[in-house]
Parts: sequence; C-alpha cells; structure tokens
Amino acid sequence: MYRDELNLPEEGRWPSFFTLVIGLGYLLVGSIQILSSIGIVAPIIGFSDLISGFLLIIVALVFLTGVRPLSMNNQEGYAFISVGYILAAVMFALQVLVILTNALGWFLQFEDWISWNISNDITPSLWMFIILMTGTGSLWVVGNMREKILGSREGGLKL
Amino acid sequence: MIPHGEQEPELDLEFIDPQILLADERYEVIGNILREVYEPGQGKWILSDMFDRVLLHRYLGLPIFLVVMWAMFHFTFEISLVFMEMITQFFGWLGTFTSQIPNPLLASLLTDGILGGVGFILTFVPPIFFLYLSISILEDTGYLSRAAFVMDRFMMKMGLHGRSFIPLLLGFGCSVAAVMATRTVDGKSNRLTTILVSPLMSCAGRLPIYILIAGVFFPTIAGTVVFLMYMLGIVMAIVMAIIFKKTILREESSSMIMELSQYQIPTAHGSFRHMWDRGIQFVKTAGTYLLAGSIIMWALSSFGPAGVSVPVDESFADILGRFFEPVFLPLGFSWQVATGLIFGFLAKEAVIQSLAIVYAVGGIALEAALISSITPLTAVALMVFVLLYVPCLATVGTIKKETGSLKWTGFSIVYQLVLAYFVAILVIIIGGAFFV
Repeated sequence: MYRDELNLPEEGRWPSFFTLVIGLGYLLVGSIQILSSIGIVAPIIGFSDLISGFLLIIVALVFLTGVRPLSMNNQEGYAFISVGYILAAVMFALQVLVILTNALGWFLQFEDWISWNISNDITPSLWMFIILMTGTGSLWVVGNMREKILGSREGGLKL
Repeated sequence: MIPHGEQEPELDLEFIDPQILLADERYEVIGNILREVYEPGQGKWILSDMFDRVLLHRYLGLPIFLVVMWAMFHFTFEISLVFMEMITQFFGWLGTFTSQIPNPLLASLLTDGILGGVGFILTFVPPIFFLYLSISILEDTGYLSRAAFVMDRFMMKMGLHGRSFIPLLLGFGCSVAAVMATRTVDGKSNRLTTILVSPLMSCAGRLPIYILIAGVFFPTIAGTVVFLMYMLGIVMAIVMAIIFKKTILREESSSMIMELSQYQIPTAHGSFRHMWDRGIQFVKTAGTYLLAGSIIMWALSSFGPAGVSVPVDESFADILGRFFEPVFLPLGFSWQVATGLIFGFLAKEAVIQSLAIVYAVGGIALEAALISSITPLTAVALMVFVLLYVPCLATVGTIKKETGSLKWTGFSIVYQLVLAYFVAILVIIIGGAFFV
C-alpha cells in the first residue's frame, strides 16, 4: 500500500498496543488538565490552560483513531501515528521556545520576568512528548535487539 | 451497466457545476495520455498521501486545523513577549533623552507623540513578524490549501462557497489582500458575500490591541484569548455569510475543485523572505501613515480651545471623544477609547496608538490607565468591537474598487458597525449575567 521507502513494519500488533497506550495517556492528561483548569480538581502547576487540555485530547484522538487499522495490520494506521507525533512535537517545540524566551527575559531581569519560575512552564505537552519519544526510542532499541538475536539464531541454525 | 435496448438517461447538465464538467474532461484527457505512456503498477502511496489521509479526515481534519491555528497564535504571542519588552525598553531609553529637550512643546511632541505613538506601535513588530512567519511556513508546507479543503466541507454544508475560505485565510495577514483574493471566487453573489465577510477575519493590524488587552487583563491565558479572538472572527464570518446567502445574496453554491500539491519541507530562506516581505509593510505603515496619525493625535491631545499645552481633558481630543462617548456608554468605553476607535478607521493599529498618546499626554501609562478605566468584561467587549467594526480605510478603498459600487461599500461599513455594536453589547449583557 505505501511505498517501500517509507520502511513501515508489516506487523502492526505491537505498534497498535503502543499507540493505544500513548493515546490513552494523552486523553487522561488532557482530561485532567481541563478539569484542573476549570477548578473541578485541585489546581496543578502547569495544568492551568483549558484550551491546551482540549488540544491534548485532539492529539489523543488522532493516536486512538490509528489503533484499529494497526491492530488489523492495515498500514493506514501509521498515517495517524505520524500526524499524532507531528502534532505532539509541534506542541512540545512551542513550549520549549516559550521556556527559552522566558528564560531570556528572566536573564535580562525585565520587570515581568523577575518572578518567573520554570516550573510554571513545565506543561503536560512538554513532558508527554518526552515520555512519547522515550517510549518510541525504547521500542526501537528492543525491536532492533530482538531482530539481531533472532537473526543470529536463524543464522546459527543454518550453519 | 445499461441493458441493451435501453437508452442511457441523459444527464441534466443544467444542474451540474461547469467546473466539475471541465475538471472531468481535463482528467479524462490526462487519463488518455497516461494510458498511452505509463505502465500502471500496484497503487502505492507516498508520504504526502499518508498525511492527507489524516489531515483531510472527515472528523479529525477540523480539530487538527484548530490545533494548528492555536499553535500559530501561541507562537505569535508567547514567543514575541520578551522581544516586545526589549523594544519597549529601547524606546523608554530614547524617551529619557527626548523628555529633557528644553523646549517643552518639542519634548512633548517627541516623547508623548512620536515615541509614545509610533514607538509604542513598533513594539508590536515581533508578533506581527512571527505571525507572518507562521503563515509563510503553513503556506510553504502546503497545509494552508488543505485547511481550505477541510473548511470547504464544513462551509458547503451551510450553503457557502468553499473557495471563499482561501481569501478568508489570507485575511489573517491583511484584509486588503483578502478582498483582492476574492477574484478567485466564482459567481457574483458568492464573491460579494466573501468580500463583505473578509474584513471580519482578524488582520495583523488588530493584533496589537488583542496583545495589549489580553496581556493586561488576562495575563495567564493571554495567548488563548488572542487565539479565541481569531476564532471568533472565523465564526462571525461564517455566520454573516450564511445570513447573506439566505437573504440578500442568494445563489447556488458550487463545488470546490482544488489540486493539492505534495507537502514540502519549507526552507528557512523562503519562509523568512516571505515574512520579511509582508512584515516590512507594517514597518512602512508605521513610518508613514501612523507617524502622521501620531502627530495629529498628539496635536489634538495637546491643543484645545484655550490654546497650547492645555490639560488633556480640555483638549480637542477630549471634545471629539466626548462627542461620541454617549454612543459607547452602554459598552462602558471611555472618551479616550472612543477617540481611539475613531482613529482606528484610518488603520486598526491607530486604535492602540491613539490611546497610548492620549494617556501619555495626560501623564499616565497606558496599561495602568486601562486597568483603572475599564473592567475585564469591557476589555473583552472592546476587543470584540475592534475585531468586527468598520474595516480600515485601505480595505474600504479596495472594497469600492472590487465591487465597483458605492452602495455595497457603504453597506459593508454600516453592517460591520451595527454587528460590532450588537455583539459587543451581547458580551456585556451575557458576561454581566454570568461572570460579574
């Protein structure tokens, strides 16, 4: 279905499970952010923006829509994962830029930045993406190791 | 398949969009050529198709568009704050010299008039450049045409013309460009509808007032407030288009046929070049029209019937503002705000510039003056009013040129004034009932 150079795995069971976990994670955190920002649950540092909560839920929906096609080994599911990653990355990059510019204001001792504290800028969009990338990296490493081990076993049998 | 002996039913060409017929014919010719020169293999998708599967998704397309829009305004507002402060500090530093000029009138002109006016408006250069950078990146990636496609489905359901969304998107940059871009819209009434609603989209000129008011009254969610104002612009444009299409400008909507190019990775050179070309227009406006406007505004604030250097509440600006103040009293706008809104007809940036000068001549900082003179609810009503009221002079000129009609030009001014007043009053009434 997709061109070979996209290099997508044929087997979608594990990617679908991973996507489900990530999707549910974003959904949970987004919901908590909405509830926290409107005061239904206790205020949490970094969870104050209502709109950001909705946006996290949209990212979650993109991931979750990809679970079903992936579980049926339909490579179309990777399209949803890719866009989910891009959206999560955009929100992460924006938050990094916000921290950098706020740090610049604090460094230059501008009036509005004197009381700036980095903890207020550590938002879910920032650490959720770090979790997402760590999970992806771990899966990639495990997958590579598995391939090497299975490859060497098959090679050994052949010998 | 049609059985032998039965006649194929004739298509009722009267009800088929000629655009679709033309596109069908064109693709048939392309197909015939391809059949001769191309050996078809197994259908394979490329990365661009893969993204389109999601970005043009029936249900996810619109929410994803909202995420992209939020990212654009969050980037525009949050990232530019520190750079705005740098420019403020620079003009503040210049002001320490100009205020010491021995001639008090010249010192006031330079400090309160030019630095307080043009200098103040120039502090909004970073967000405007960042906004144009975001629009350039979205255009260069190919997403902006997809956004029109996503919104097309949504707009067609409401009887609107899908192609109209492209000029509306351009309206984020400048209303003049949006009105001119309506030339691509088919059908007289479709085009007229698009021209009439294009100025409702928030142009870059309105950004300074959103940034200032959101930053002063809603500092913790300022980026979100700015985003919501832009969304309100889109919603109002759609609502008004529906009203026009169902009442004075009835016409069948035609389908949108759009060839979507593949996604591209934007180049830094290309995006920054586009940003510069568009953003520099703002600087040129600040250096010409807004400079002239700030001198006029300073003169109105410093001169009065009693002579030169009169207190600001005895100045011509006060007389002008107080003349219109009763009209704005239900909205809670002071005479200073009324004066700013009158000057906003020349250019939207002039609203905030005029306010800065009036308060500077009166010896009060703009932020402090706003907090003491209007409530947060009135501040929201003011943002809504600025979003919806008369388009700037350049846009009015373009509407006249594009419609070729004084009647429609006058109508666009009057309906926007009425709409702005009505929606701002609604904000005051509903907001007063629920939040105060």
